[in-house]
Amino acid sequence: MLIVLCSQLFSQSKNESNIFYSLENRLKFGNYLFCQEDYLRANDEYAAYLEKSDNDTIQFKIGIGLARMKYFADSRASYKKLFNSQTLSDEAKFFYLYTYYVVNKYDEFEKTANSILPNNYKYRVNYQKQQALAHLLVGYNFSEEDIVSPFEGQYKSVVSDFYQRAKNPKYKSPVLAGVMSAIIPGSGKAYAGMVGDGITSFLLTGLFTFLAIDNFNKEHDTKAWIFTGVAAFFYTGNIYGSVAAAQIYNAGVRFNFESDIKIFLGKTNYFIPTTDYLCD
Amino acid sequence: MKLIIPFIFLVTSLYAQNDWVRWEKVKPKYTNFFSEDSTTIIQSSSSNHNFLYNAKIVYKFFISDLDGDNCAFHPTCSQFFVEASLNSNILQGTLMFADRFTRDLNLLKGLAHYPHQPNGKLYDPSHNYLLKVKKIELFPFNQTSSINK
Repeated sequence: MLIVLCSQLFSQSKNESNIFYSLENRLKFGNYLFCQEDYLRANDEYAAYLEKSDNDTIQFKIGIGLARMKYFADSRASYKKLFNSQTLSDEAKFFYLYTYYVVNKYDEFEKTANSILPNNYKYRVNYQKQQALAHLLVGYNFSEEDIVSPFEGQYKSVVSDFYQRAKNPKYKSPVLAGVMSAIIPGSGKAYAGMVGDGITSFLLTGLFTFLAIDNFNKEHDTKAWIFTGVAAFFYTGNIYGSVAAAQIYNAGVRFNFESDIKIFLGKTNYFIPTTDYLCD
Repeated sequence: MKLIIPFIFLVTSLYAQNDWVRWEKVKPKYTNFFSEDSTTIIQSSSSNHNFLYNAKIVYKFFISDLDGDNCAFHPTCSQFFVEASLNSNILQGTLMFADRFTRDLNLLKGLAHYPHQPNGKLYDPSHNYLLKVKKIELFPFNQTSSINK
């Protein structure tokens, strides 16, 4: 009698357990975790669900979760399964391309887009916006109309400004900096934005040149040649440093330009349509 | 005139050095004679590299270690010269050092031009001055995500 009672109790708890871990409940729990941004555990629940049932939205959410955890290669694999989906094909293609874009793989971004461009108008326009800014970052030669046309409203003027900065960067010429410093020591450095260093170069070169001339006039040849050597040391170093300073200045201009575009992309969330509908 | 020139040198050298902290007794370290600075030198079997490496050790032992760690830049000027010479040639390295020395003597160092390291030093690596645009590194820490790109 005791054995019968225990077996009945055991089968009852197993039934309750089966209901608790049902597919529906696992899906609900997965959705809850996804909306709480706990993507790792949400994907576990979704993976268990997909073993028993097929669901494009769940597959898509797995891809979103992996991308948000920065597992871009795995998220691409997830999106790829949806390219032939009837409902989420365009979304999957768009986000697939985005995984290349967000890690600055602009060549792969464009190459892949040639074969899987989204058909939906909204996604296509957003792709074109991303593509235009990628062209500016990589330095492809496109007209202003090609770059600015996908944008509307206030974004047009912002992107137009980026285009002008890309076409006419305010670079300094390293050759000019070197020539200026050869004529007037330190002037090339001041031209490259290092005014203090330019003044120091000028003073040092001038001082040792004066000392060399003064000692030659007084026929102190040994001291004069020493000062000549030191003056030559600072003079040649000043010319070399001016050329290097102009190159570093140009690298700074390029860096600021790229940073400004990245900040703009961040503010516009990379023109990604919102996926709030996934958290009803 | 003869007094003015030594006076100028005195003033510039006083202000070029930023070691105004009073020296105190330091616990001796028996683990490694050479400072961290010297471990960044590329060691090679070529005679030029050995010569530079040994010259750097002699300079550090007899001169640099005596007046303390008071170069405003990282790497220090002597380390800069060694790295510049090893990454290019002795002539280019000398030119780079001449430029670095001039910048170090600048009383009003362009602090906005150099990234600041956590230890207060100004980051100024030699590879920024090799005249190779692709080697220019504006910031010392290039943080990129390495997760599964």
